[in-house]
Amino acid sequence: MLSIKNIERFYKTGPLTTWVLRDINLKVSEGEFVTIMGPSGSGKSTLLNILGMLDQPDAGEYLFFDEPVHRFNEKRRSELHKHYIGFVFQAYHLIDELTVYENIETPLLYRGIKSAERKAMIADVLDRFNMVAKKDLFPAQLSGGQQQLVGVARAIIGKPKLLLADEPTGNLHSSQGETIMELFAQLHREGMTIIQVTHNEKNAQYGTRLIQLEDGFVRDDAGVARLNV
Amino acid sequence: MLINYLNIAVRQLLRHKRFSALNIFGMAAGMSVCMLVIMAVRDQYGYDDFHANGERIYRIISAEADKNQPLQKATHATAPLSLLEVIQDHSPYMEAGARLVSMGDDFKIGERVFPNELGGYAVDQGFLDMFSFGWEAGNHSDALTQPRSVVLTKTTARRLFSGSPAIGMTVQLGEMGDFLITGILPDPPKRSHIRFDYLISYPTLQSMSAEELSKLGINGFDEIWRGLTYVLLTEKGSRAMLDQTLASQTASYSVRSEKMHYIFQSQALMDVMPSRDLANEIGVGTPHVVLYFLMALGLVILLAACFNYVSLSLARSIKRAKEIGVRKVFGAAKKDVVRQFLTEAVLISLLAFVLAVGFLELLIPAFYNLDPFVSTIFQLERSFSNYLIFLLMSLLVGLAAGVFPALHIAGFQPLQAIQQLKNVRLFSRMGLRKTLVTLQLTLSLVFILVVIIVLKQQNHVLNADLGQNIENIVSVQLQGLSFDKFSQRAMQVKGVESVSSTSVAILAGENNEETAIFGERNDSMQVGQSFISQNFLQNMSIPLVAGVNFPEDNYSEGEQFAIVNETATRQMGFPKPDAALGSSIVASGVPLSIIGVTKDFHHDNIWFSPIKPFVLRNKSERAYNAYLRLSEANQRETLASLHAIWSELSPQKNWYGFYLEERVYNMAKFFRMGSSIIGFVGFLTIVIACLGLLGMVVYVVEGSVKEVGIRKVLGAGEARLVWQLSKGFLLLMCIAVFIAVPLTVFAADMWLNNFLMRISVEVEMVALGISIVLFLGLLTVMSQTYWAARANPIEAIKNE
Ligand SMILES: Nc1ncnc2c1ncn2[C@@H]1O[C@H](COP(=O)(O)OP(=O)(O)O)[C@@H](O)[C@H]1O
Ligand SMILES: [Mg+2]
Repeated sequence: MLSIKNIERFYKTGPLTTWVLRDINLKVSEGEFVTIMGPSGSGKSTLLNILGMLDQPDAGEYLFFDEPVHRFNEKRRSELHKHYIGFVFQAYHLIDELTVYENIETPLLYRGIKSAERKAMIADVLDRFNMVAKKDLFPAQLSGGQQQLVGVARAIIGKPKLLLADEPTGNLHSSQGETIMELFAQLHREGMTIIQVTHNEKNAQYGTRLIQLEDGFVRDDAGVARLNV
Repeated sequence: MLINYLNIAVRQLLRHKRFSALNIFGMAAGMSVCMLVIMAVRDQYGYDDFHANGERIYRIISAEADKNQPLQKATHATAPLSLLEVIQDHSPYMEAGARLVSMGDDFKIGERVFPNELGGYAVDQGFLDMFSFGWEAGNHSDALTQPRSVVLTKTTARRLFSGSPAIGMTVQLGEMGDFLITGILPDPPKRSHIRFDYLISYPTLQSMSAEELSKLGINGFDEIWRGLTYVLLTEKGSRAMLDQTLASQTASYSVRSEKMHYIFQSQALMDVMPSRDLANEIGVGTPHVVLYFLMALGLVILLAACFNYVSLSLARSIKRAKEIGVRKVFGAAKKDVVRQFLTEAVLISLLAFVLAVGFLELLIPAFYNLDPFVSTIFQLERSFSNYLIFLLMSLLVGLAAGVFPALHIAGFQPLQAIQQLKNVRLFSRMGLRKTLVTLQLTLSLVFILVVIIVLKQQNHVLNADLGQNIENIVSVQLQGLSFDKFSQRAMQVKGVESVSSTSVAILAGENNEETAIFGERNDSMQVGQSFISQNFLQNMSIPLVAGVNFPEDNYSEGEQFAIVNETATRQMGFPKPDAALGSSIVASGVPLSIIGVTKDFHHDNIWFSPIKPFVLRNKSERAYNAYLRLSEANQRETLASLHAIWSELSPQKNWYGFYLEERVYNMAKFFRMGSSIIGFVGFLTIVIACLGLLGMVVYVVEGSVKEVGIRKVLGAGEARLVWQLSKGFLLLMCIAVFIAVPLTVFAADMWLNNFLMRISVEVEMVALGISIVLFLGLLTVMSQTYWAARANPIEAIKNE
């Protein structure tokens, strides 16, 4: 599905160059559930953002369904991003002025989906996430777990091929986190490709593959089973 | 999609009420002033637009000059009365034509007199054919073909006959005798440059003797001063053909005249108003300059209103970064974000439109009350087309104001926009806010300085030192009556302090240009000249700076002396006025010796004409005007007595006397009105600029609430907090002063250079401007910071 080759990312602050990612090579096939782990500051979020086309590498190649993303301009990149990628953030990032329903609706609006179809799609998702009763509430009226549920619903409503999640349970109690992870597992079973960043080893268990980052290098890339040994 | 945009726009508005209120209020204030300007300007450009054949109607304008002087363009609205017949003979393309000669006289029906209240014209029947003033009663097609016919407006008929039928009745028009009423017209609309209470038939004039005509001020039909000429071209006719005929007539009139040559030109009916500074203009309307100035002010106000919106929106955009980041992550393209923010701006502008229409209802009466003159000239119409224009303007303002913030916000990188939320630093993005506040301060200061300077300049012109004292001076046109006879009697009237004479009615709009020759090389210069009585200078309080007045018995040995003004001595090359004494000057062929030099005094139109070299001479037979100085008390009685003397000495002629001050005041009425309109609109501009300032300050302080909270927790007192926040403002104020003052002073200097009488920009004016902005700015900053400082610190910290 996607492959990156020799990806580099650095920041220049004055004369100093801080390397964030160095020579990253990675292939992800459809249907995988990849977990990225590593110490804080090791470049996990940066890598995820590059995969999600929100950030550009300073060097290297990025092929997404064989399309050379690294050569695309911003407009084409965001088209690709819009149709294939869903994002879940640690801090939920819901729009405060919109209701649950409207937050979930947002990606559909930008895809130009007709109103009737939108209604049906949102009704489905609300039903599935058990949030029908909360659809007219504003984010501030929800608990963290509920907010993240909305966040996930918003990420998958457009049926993306790839779901990216940056510490989705980082701000949640463990029971709330479990609900989210169960949801991910279910989505994975339905065939969605997922890449998540987490600090939690238990969460990593849900995945099929584990990538360990350290100081911008891939230290280890293996099936989850091997980690357990 | 649009519904979603509107939805979030409305929620944003409701959530940030202070911000929304400021934005809507500021924009509405700007819009309402602009609406007023649009109404006023459209009104002025809409003059005479009700004539069905308007685009085919032209007025013939003219000028004349000595043959040795150049003539380039028509300077008078009038043209020779004989011209129309000549054109009619020459041209198959003329459908109708009419001459207008202004009349104004006492109406009399039986024994009832209606003195001097009505004004009208003697016009050709063509007048009724070409213009669309409408018709009420009588025979429209030949109402004005016979001598001694008169057509009345409805109001005039009602006034004279109080309701009973007027057609077929007779009225007496002053000395001209009886007229038969042949028709009734509706009252001419306000928006017509031709306004009248009655029309008499032009053939009446054709039936009069030369002597009778001269009483009406018509001295031959070739003179260009007395009548206006209008022509209606046929559908096939073109202006070029008319101009060609006029050019050929220009030539033949010039050949016919011994001394003068002429120029005749056409002027489209729709170009008559707003007025173009033609002499003998009959229409009253705002001069072009004032309208241009108003339009410029209107535009500036709109820009200011837009700027207010832009700066407030930019300031707010920092807080909305997260929303935009999220939207972009979930598929919003740049154009989607732009559309969303434009929708918000347009929504605000539409709300502002509604409010502005309300404000306008307050502005309109205020505008009419500026000057009694305003309501006779302006007719602000609440017409559908006006409101349609206002609506379009509002939409445009919304788009214009919205586009910059929209583009700015749409350019946010999603990742950075979202992350911004993570690291809210205490002073994050203060740079942008400071820049905006500084700009806002600069703008306010520029406005205030401009208004101060413009008003000072206007005041300077209005209160100009005339170089003489015209208070309580009554000018009387003697019309052939001997000055000695009149002054002898007038001096006996109680309340008359002194009586003097002048051949040229100084300051009353008359001017007499002559050539004077002086010096050893026989240099010549154009001078104004008037023959005055010996006591004239004293009577008018015109001081001498050198030499003496004319001797008492200047007449006995023939004319010997002249008194000139300072400008004349300068022009003659004398370093000091004294040096000119005793030197000779030949004025209109008569050699004279300079006996005195007056301080410069105004003699012509004080608004447009500079003080020119002036020669005063002393000769009794040229006493055409008596200038009487009255004492302060009981002037009514004094005038009545003078009137009585006049009727006794000159029973044939109408008394024509007026206060000189009133005349000068009247010449200034456009200026006076213009200056009050500019002051009014300028004041509103300042209010709007200050609103923007208030908005920015509110915003900055809102952004510092957390900081204030922390400092307060750390133990800072309220006074100290207020000082700390105000300190920053003072620094920005200094920067604004450094930008605004040189800019404005430079621009003002260029503008002032256009004036005859001008002020220079002084330190006090700049200081006044700075103080006003400083005062208003500090007031808002202090009140806002005080409010912030008083707030509960824990709440403030929690809220961020
Ligand atoms: N805009 C930036 N400028 C400079 N350094 C940055 C910037 N963004 C991230 N970094 C640095 O890049 C490194 C990796 O960051 P990140 O990918 O967020 O790490 P992780 O998600 O693994 O904690 C960190 O050391 C961080 O300080
Ligand atoms: Mg991270």
